[in-house]
Amino acid sequence: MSPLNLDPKKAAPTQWRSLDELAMSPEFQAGLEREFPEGASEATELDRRQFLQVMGASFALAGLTGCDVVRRPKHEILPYNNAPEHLIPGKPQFYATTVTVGEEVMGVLVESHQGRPTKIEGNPQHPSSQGATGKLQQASILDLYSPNRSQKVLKNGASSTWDAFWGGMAPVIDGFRANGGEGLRILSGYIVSPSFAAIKQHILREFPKAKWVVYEPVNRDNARIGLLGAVGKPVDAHYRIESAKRILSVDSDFLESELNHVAHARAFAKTRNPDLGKAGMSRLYLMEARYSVTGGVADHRIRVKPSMIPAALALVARELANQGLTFQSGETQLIDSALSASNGTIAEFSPQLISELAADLAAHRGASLILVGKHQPPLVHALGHAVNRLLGNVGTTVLYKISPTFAFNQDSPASAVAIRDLAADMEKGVVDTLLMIDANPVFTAPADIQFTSHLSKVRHSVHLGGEVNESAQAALWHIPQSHYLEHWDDAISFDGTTSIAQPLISPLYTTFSKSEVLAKLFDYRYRESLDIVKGHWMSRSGALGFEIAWRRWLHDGIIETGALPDSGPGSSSGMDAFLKAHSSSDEGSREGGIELMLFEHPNVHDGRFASNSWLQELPEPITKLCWDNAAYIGPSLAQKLGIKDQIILKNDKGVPMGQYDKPMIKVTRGGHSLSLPAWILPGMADETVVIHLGYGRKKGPGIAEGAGFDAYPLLDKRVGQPLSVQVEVTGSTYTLACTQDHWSMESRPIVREGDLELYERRPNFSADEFMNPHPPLASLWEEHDYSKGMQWGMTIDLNSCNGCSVCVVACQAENNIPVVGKGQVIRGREMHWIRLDRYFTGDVDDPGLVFQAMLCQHCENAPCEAVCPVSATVHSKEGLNEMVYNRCIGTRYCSNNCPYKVRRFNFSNLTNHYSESEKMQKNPDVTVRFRGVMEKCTYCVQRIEQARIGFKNKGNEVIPDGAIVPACAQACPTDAIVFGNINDPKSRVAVLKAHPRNYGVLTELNTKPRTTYLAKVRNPNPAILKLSRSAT
Amino acid sequence: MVFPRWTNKVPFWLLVTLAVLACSIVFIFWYWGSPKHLEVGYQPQQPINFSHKLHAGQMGMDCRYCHHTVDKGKFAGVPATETCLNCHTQIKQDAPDIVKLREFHAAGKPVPWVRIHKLPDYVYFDHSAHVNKGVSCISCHGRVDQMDVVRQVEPLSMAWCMDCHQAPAANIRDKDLITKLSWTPEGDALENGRKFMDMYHVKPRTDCTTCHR
Repeated sequence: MSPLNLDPKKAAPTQWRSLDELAMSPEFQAGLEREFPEGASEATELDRRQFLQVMGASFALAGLTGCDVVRRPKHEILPYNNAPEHLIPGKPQFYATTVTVGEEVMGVLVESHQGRPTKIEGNPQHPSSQGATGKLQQASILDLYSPNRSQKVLKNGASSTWDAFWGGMAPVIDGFRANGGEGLRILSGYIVSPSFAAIKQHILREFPKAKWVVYEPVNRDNARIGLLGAVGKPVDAHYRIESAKRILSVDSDFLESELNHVAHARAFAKTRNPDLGKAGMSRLYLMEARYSVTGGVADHRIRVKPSMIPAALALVARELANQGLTFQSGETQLIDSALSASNGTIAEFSPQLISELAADLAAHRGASLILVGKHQPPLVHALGHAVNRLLGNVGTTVLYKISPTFAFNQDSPASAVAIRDLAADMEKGVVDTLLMIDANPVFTAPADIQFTSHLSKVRHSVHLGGEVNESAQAALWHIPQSHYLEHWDDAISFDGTTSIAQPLISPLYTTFSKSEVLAKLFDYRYRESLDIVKGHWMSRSGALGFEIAWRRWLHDGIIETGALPDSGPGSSSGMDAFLKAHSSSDEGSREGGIELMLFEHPNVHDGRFASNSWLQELPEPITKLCWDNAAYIGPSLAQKLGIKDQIILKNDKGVPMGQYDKPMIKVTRGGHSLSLPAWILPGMADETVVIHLGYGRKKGPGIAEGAGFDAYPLLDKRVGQPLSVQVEVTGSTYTLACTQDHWSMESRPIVREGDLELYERRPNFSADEFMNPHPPLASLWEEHDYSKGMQWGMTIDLNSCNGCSVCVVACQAENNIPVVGKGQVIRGREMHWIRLDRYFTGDVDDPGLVFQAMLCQHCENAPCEAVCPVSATVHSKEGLNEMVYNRCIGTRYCSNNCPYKVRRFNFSNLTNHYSESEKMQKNPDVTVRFRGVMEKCTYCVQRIEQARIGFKNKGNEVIPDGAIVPACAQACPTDAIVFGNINDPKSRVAVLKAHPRNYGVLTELNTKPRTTYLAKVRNPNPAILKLSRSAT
Repeated sequence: MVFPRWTNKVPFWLLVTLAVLACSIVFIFWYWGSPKHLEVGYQPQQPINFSHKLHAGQMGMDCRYCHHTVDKGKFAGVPATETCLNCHTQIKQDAPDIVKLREFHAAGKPVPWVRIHKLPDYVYFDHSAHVNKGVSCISCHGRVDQMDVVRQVEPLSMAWCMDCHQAPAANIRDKDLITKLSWTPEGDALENGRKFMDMYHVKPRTDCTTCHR
């Protein structure tokens, strides 16, 4: 260990990444001293003897093949017969289209290499994207090429044909024509497509007795119902986070899992600039039971048991009333019922805390904002909006606009009710035919309605979907659906922006879109997806000038931007009826004891992305777990259950380090129980268990099967409602893969954080206060002169970064980074070039959270370069630390010597087994690496070179600032990552590097990193800080 | 004396023979195994006997009539079959090669041209970056206008690339003359090259990532 290192035993770290690190157990320290976890370097499948046998055989083969390779193999160039217009081979083209995930509509630009879509970027003109993307949208391209895609029609699980399906269904539909659709049910997700809604209308007009069921397991129904009560109209709340100075989030993870989170994250980051000063920088209060990424950026995170969240907001509202706000009678009742619905004792909350919080909100009337999470009951939503109105926020930070998709979905009740009604009908035997359109109710329906067993009573069940999932296998027919990049579609985002989704490629298999299937089955005017969409819009905008308009829509990716009229504050006249319907304990959240919260996983959502390997391997932002879900419990509940957080670290052969053997617990609710590993997550509310849905796919295709544990059987209420459960320790253990402690940086000041008060007093605090003592910074070598020409550098603003991880997926898509699988992650062989470190700070029970993206720092004095025996990693004149794959012989000395631990080694031949379809996703501008080669962040050098050639071809020797955007920075919703020429004093990156918050990591080693960070500055309420200080 | 006297020299000659053999083997691989010998002269049979000598040489067609993306993108581009048919729907319709060409086009099949100039997959060469800086086709492809059947004339090895990247003057000329393969500079070729290097800001880079990414 370096003598520069602070002795970890002397001082417990204030920033820590796991409980083991906090405790600094001897095993943990032993692990830190290795640069790769134990076992990472050993071959997995072969022992030494087998290895020698295999090697002997390959030498023999090499000798044979050596004889006839005198000339290289014949290679053909196949030109077009008729060349497409504007296509320059080797130059990607970008097409605007639209991605829909549930209710979330995002305009994107898709990069296409000679007809082969390879990467999703945000559409700067689309308000939900503004140039950035979410990780689900970013990863959705992999589903197109997935070898697990459904490719064939199945009847009772056996291979069939489309003709057989059309032929089999024709008499069924004819029968419905005679009886008006009696017994016909169509189940789909939330509808956001106007042309699809037109088909739905057509079907319900032709078959008046048929019923359409809108079922979305994770939905915003509560928010909708609550708003209807509070405002009296079917509106959506549009938050103007950029003009909010004080935000209270009530279980709202608005930076990651709520609707429009990408735009919200961007707006929120803009308010977090500490240079705005005390008057300008926003302050975020957050009440939650889980630990969300939004909780990580909050200035005050208040841990509240799930059932107590309504009461917590009600207490704030009551305090506001005490401080002079006048609630109307209906609203007072809201407060009362929220308080009564909560089971716990109100005394748990510090009255001073609530009063300071309320005073802070009241002092910012018109510039404060209450956000309520989608999983909260309608009552809490209504209350949140009542408080917003009283604080004068309606019209400034909250606008109400009639929901543009309301009309598409209004004839179906809320999802939770709709699926129950459907199951009841199926049980009664009145459902003759059920079409499940791009939905997986067999997996996602609440367990107590026994959807699967009732499905067998349906005579004709049809499942349309992109993969052969649980519903496909339970249904009579499964028909394969085309990917969204293979057909035409359209969508309205919640703010009213309408956009066309255009295909980038013909269907890879014989598949149809949902519109095409329904159009053919029910004899719609148009059959092809293009005609369906085009016909719909032509009938709306008229044939005159349509072609010109259509071309413009396709080019821009937008038909019209959200110009929805503001429907004003509305009236609460319907409040009494609303209260009557929703104040009962069932609608509130009265549950007690140990409470379980179930909600969607941030990566695999409700399960629909479980077969996407990028999202499976992407560490869950808070726990850094991948390939599994677990029961998250707080340290206090763990203590109560007698669970110790143990990491088994063995230095000799046996269990490799980095493997997390976690004790299993059994979570029981009613007649259902689920055994799964417990993961102690600091900062969870006491007596709370959180389990993510979407894992544990039983008959999922490919990799989805066997990953994690299915918590849907425990779900007998709406997603996100607290459920009272019994928990017991089973005694067995389960191995989880977690990237949390790999490449630990010991207790050096890697992440630097202060509060606004400190920053205003000492703007340079990050550089001054955290610097380790160090010897003079002198280099052994003569240093290069980097003062001329273009010199690349990067800054990452820790204040903007919220840890959403989209940069990791974007980097994976751009740079052909392979997926390694759970077993390899356990061995510490994950390949992500960006490691999004998550540090806990402070108290174990109630810690803060900081994220830091750690990637190649492109050191000017790079330690890796000095030790490479073959010069496979060298420095460019423009300051890039280059990695030359073809020279690398795999000594791994560079990774040994890298103080940042950002180099990744191809331990296995991960790229050799790609199927033909997977190969199509690969970026042709980046080498696909082979076994035995080191790799790491290149600052997206392929984009630098393309930009350079582009500008030079036009005779421009200087690349303007902003012309080169690395994949991570392009996808980042908060603009936390800035890249550019640090020699140009006017470039954004140079300005940021001159900022007082700028600091480099481990600069005491004289590495001179080109990637630097801007310290995190929080804006806590001084009055509340005083409270907590006086309490301790 | 069991062995005759001359056997004393056997170990010596054996050593000499072995040394010569070893040197020859190394030399054979070093010399004939280099791209200069393995690659240069590669002249495969093409599916259609297209003559560059006739089209580019005698008729003086500009290279960019067919290879029209050479100054726009990475690849010079093998022309689409319809480009050939621009003229050959009128000219020499009955020639057996044109009949073959039309058959490919009618069947919707690409003509399977055999690649001659091939760089390894880890090399990201860009035609436009070179052509727009005054590097003529001739520098890498030779006098294609004199070839009936195109063959490789340069080794296209990394050392060969680096020779030019370190001293490009000999290969830089007026951008208007890039496709004039018969052009020779009046006066000092290097002097002429340096003039256009200044004019076009030619500063070839030798960083690894210039070509390897």
